Formats: sequence, structure tokens, C-alpha cells
Amino acid sequence: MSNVFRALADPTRRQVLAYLRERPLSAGELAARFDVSKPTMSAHFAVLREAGLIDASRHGKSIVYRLRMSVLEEALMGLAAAVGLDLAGAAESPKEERA
Amino acid sequence: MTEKQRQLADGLVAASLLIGFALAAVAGRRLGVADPELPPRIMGVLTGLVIAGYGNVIPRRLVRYDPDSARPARRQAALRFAGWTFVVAGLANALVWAFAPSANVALWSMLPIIAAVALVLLRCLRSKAEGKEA
Repeated sequence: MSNVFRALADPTRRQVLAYLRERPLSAGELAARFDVSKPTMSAHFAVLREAGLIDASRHGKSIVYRLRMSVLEEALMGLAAAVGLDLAGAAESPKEERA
Repeated sequence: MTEKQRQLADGLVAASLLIGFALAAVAGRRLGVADPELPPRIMGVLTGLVIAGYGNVIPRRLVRYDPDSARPARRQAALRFAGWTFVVAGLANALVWAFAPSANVALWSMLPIIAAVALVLLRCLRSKAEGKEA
């Protein structure tokens, strides 16, 4: 569960999950929505995968990410976003989103 | 522990709790230490929590990804809807068993479950109809 808290503590990762809530997206589609480097995005994806919140499947040359959150985890994410809860216990530097 | 093993372990723990509480409740009633109304209420609350627990993991069920159809997004939305609906229904069921007056408590407790099943069925039918139109 600590992996889940750590994953949900970062606003960029929460935003990734919010995009994936609408539909599955490729790594490229997701990365294009954030103003961060590809290695940084890959690290975010790795944390989310490790926490079991997303699923990655390779299709051709691209990797497609899908949401894999339980209702409780989704509620926790909503709560963290609503009240700015510091789930990890230590604040991580927030990443700026492009638009 | 793999995902499947964890699911099996969770199911066994839930089943053991239900059976254990049922046996304890029967023993308590026979020994006269438990209020006769208490065992069915405890079982009702536990059943509601089990329904909420299973609803909680519904959105995590995935099938092979097929990017050539519009299905993945619709399927994901339907699973999320079903998950939230059964969690709310299960918690409502547990609350009714915990706090509703004795008269017709079983009937009242079923209403959230019946409503949840109806809502999920309607949502699936609507999703299927949208799929045919697309």
C-alpha cells in the first residue's frame, strides 16, 4: 500500500491517472501532454506500474497504458487531489504541466 | 505472491470470516450470550462489506488490449461504473443492516443491491448500443 501512497503523492502521476481514466493512451500520447523529459516520464510510469495502478502492454512499436485502479485507490486519488494530501509523507517537487 | 494467488487468499479470508462469524453467532445465541437479533445483523453487515470489497476490485479486471476498436475506453468506463456502483451498494447494504429498525430490514437491505444490479445492467446495455452505432 505504501507504493500506492507514493505513486499518488505526485501531482504529475495523478494527472497521468486522470488522463487514463478517460481512455487507454500510448506512452507518446501521455508524454506529449506534459512538459517534462522522456526519462522523467518513464520514471513516473515505472512508479505507477510498480504500484499496480496502471497496466502497460506493447502494441507494435508503442506501449499502451491502461488504468488499473480499484475504487478505493481512485477515491484516495480524488481525496489527495481535493485536499492536497501529502500521501508519501514527504513532498516531492511538483512537475509543471504544459496546458 | 502472484495476483491470482492474492485474489484466492483474499477470497479465502473473506469466506473464513463469514463462516467464522456465523458459527460464533450461532454459538452465542445457543449459549444465551448474544441478542437473537444480533447474528443476522452481523452477517448482513459482513455480506455488505464483502459486496463492497468485490466491487472495489472490479475496475482492475483487464482483458487483452485491442487498440483497433473503440472498446477499451467503453469497457474501462463500464468497469469503473460497475465498481463504484457495487461499492456504494455494498456499503449501503451494510449500513442498513447496522442501523435500520428491525421491521423489514432484510427487504430494505436488498434495495441498494437490486438498484446496483439494475443500474449496471442498464449501463452495459447502453454501452453495447453505443458500440453498435459506432
